[in-house]
Amino acid sequence: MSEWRISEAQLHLVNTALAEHDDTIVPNLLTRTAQESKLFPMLPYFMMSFMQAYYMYPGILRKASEHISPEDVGHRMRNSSIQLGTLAANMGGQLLYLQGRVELIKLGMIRPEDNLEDLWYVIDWHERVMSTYRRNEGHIWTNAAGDMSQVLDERVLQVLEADAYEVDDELRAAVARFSAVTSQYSFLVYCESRVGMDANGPYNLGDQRMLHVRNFLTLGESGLPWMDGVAADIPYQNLTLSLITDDVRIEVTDFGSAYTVPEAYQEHVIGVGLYTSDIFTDRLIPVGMGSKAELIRTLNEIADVVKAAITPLHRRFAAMNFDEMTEAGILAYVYALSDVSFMSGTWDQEEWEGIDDRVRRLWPVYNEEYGTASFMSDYVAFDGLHGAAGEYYIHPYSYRSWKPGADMTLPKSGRVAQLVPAFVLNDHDYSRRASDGATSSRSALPRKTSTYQFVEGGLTQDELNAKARSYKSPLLEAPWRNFDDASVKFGYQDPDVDAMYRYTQENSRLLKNRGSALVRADIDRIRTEAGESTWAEAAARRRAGH
Amino acid sequence: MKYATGQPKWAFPEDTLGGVLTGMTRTKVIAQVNANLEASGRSWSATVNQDWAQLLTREQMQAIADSILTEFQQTEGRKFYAGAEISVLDKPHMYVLRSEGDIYYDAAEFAPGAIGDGDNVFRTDDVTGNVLVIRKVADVNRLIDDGVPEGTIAVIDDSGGTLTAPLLPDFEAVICLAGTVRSHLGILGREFGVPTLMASRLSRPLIDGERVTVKYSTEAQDAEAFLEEDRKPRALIVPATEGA
Repeated sequence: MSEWRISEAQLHLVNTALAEHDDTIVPNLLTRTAQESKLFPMLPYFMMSFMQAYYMYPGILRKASEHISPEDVGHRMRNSSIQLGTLAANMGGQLLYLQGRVELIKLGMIRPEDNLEDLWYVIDWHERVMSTYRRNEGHIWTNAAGDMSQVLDERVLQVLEADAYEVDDELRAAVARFSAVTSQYSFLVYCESRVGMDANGPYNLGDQRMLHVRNFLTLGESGLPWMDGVAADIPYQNLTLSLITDDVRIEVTDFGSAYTVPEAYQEHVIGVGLYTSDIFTDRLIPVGMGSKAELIRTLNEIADVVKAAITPLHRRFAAMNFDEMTEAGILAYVYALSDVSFMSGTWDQEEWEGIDDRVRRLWPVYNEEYGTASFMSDYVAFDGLHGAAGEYYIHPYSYRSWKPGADMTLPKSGRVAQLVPAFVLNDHDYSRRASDGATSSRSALPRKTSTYQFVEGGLTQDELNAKARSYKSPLLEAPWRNFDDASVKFGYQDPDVDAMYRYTQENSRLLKNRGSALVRADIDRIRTEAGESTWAEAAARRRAGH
Repeated sequence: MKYATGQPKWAFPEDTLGGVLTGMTRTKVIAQVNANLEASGRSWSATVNQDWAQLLTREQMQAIADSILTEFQQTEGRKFYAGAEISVLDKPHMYVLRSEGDIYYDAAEFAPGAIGDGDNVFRTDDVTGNVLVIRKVADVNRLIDDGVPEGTIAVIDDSGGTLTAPLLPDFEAVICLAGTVRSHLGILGREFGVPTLMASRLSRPLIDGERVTVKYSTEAQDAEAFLEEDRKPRALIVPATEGA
């Protein structure tokens, strides 16, 4: 058993993170719609996925961290568009785990000081990953950044801006259809959740133009066992759309969702690019970017293949019973963190297919209506035996809705956050790790038998783990690793910085070998020299109705 | 600092948003856990992980679940509400579909002549078509095999994007009885360009084959307007009047 003891400084960091989680999760959950599906029993799997994450994730992270640091994870998230992005790292790295903790406390199954070493470990891991991933911008949460997620490096954004094709009617239709079909497929792959979609941005292109990125993730055969066979023809595991828009407001939440005003943004799209990547690529790889005609054809072909997979996947789920669907939903949610195991070469399919027996024992009470009621209790009402934070407390988010002069009672003094009591510094009589007892897990779903799809083709578990253990990228090594945008600001003429830019530009159709001295005005010039419109010209054309 | 039962100084009642289920469930689970802890004679910190199975067994949880179902039906006069059809199919002793509750509104709440209304996802032309109510997976499977008839306005009581995933692009339009314009079905309706109303209200059931006109030319609802005064007018659903 661990003899770890929390320090006062660590305790304060933990409680600060718990408060930040509260600040973030409440507005995100309250402004989302009701979690309900006619196909999947959503609330039972939703609530139990939290507790599965609570018991599962600390062990997964410790095992992975023996091979790959949280900072390595953050860098790789930024360099490639993989499953582990804003949504997955937030959900997997902290939200699911902490929400499981809250629900277990409210059921009286654990106390706020329990499994304190796990709690510290998970929070510290998330903070280190997200502060690396978002180092150019400096926030951990997009909520704290005004629902913006400006994570990408300038060297990547320059390529996305330069290489995007101006949209005409045919390309606009192809992008809209691709987005619609792939979004629909992703909701189905992930049992009605948004775990398979992520976004970042917006990025400033001047005037009223912005660039943002939408990722469609885990489309092919993966660690999700129900994808075997039905996804065999999907040509890419992950796809990234770069979208240049004119006169649209874009927000990206901590759930990785992009919201636009107006909501119907397609008519405002003026430029598009398409890319793929995975944990074994350190750069975005262009897909169908040889010409505008090729891009249109590629988007339509991918949409056709994805559409063809929807009906067989729907039938596969529709044939499941309640318990199987619930189990699938739990696995789909906790899969958010899967890339950590893939990247570290510690992937164990059995580990990701089993439901912990500590969660299974709670299964009988998580009926659909209790799932909804407990969700409301935890994130809306802040009620119950363990909901109160003290008689003088006012929840900051609820307080925003309170208006003087309207005869409104103040919100009651409850909160999501269950702070760790400081008395743990006195006697250290608390449990350290949830794994200190004997644990087990089981699966009732058919086992996975296919390979795992990557850019280079299907790999077995042993193959992918071996490849992951030997993976190297110059972007993860000094000096490039430490060239963030703040370094480029002053060191753009440094030969090493220039070499890093050329490495990023290697697959670019317009910026190949342009180096690190480029500024946005150069991109306008380069596009003009290539016979393509600047984005100001494209926006003017859109406004003129052409 | 030790505490035996985890009873806090400050607490709220459960179920402050209505209903009785969190109170019933949590009170029983907490009581069982506390009883098991007391019977073990061990400290909380020594029990919570190392003897987790003794703190609460699956059998005890099943007994609690059974007693909650009985008590709930006695006090509420109904089974648990389910959103998913599979819940009712697999566990009919526990569930009734929420959408089978009384979901219709007083006709006086609507503009004269309107059957109902809803939040428009995006503005386009009005659509007149034949109602097709889709509530079950079997409905979807039948339509996958037979195809969606031309001019179908699908009436769907699920705001999710998965039930009708194989069919959505084939609908002429959608009337959804749940969700908001940001629900998955609303997002997909917008992406596919299928005219869609969300959070629709009806004064009576719509019947398969009934011809209606939906005013999708109404301004799109503002997803961020949470106060009634900021909301756009709702789009109307009216009986079709062709040939009149």
